[in-house]
Amino acid sequence: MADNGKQHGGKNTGVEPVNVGPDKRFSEISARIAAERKEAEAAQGQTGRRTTSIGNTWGSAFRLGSEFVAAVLVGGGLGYLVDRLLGTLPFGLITLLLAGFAAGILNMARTAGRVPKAGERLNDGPDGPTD
Amino acid sequence: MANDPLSQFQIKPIVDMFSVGGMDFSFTNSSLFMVAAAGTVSAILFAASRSASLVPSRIQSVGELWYEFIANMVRQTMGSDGMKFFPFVFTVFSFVLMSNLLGMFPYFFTVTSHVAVTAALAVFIIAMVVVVGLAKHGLHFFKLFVPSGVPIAILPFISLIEIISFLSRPVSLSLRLFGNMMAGHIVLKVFTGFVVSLGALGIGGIIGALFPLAMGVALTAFEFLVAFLQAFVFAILTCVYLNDALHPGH
Repeated sequence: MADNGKQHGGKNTGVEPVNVGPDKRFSEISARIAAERKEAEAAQGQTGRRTTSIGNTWGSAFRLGSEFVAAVLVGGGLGYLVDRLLGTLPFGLITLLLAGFAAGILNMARTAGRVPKAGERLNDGPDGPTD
Repeated sequence: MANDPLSQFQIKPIVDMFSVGGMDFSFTNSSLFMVAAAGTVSAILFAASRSASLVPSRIQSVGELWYEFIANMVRQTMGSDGMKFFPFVFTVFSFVLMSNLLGMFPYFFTVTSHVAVTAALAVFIIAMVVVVGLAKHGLHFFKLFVPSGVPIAILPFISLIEIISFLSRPVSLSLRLFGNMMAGHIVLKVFTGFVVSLGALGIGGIIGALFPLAMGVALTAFEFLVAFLQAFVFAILTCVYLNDALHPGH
């Protein structure tokens, strides 16, 4: 039926018939879906990294505290290790505990998004950013 | 089970196997619940994918939601080419989530309430980040610790802080999960323990015991939220750290 109508329209008038074949309609709708999907993906790409749900904000609140404590612990642990190896007991512990405190502040600032991530440096040229 | 809040975390050997060099390799209650968590995840996903149909059954839509949730998270944090790490992230998330949820059953053991388990997971993840970063960027990966545009006089100090900051990642990752699970179960046990001790004091005690009982109900609901949330945080941080190694441009 559809095949017949298509042939008819093409031969006689050259005008697009109303009753097009199912293949054509299928490819039309595929193209439309692809276009819509591309648009949606582009929109999501802009806002994708800024998804704020309750779980996400609460999760980052949990993160802040533990990031700080972890850095202080690592600093103290490293200091004690250095002291054990070199036999300079209080000094390495004091220095690296303070460095751990600084690293903890840096961690928190990174988690809050106030300081760019360390990974962003890898993309710059050998001389670093130009600005 | 004893009424003190810490006895629930005791590790008891179930099958004594062997010990190598002073290390005990017995099959413990912790090992049992690790196997149970992995088995439950496998069973659910097997049931979900057994009879796939276009209109999903209930168990199939659970599996689909589960997959989509992690797939979207991986795509959003790492981009489409991060999907090669999807199986890993999915496994980590499922294991942590199922361990947390199984621990919510009375008399069950919570695998993730032991720092040895969470630290092993976190150290493995960070080791993977280092390996992927070195494979993709070579020695350039260590530029992570050397900020550009810093005066040479304070550069060693800044590098030291960056190294400590990087080393603190597995610590914070493991301590957060372990701390949340252990603290939650202790608080739950303490409050519900009040119900028992107050209930033994006669009629006034029974009325008084209603308050910690209500608290216990509320805390149980809260613990289910924490169980899910901590698994989610663990998985999303895995993605974030892997993203640092994979394409640092973001």
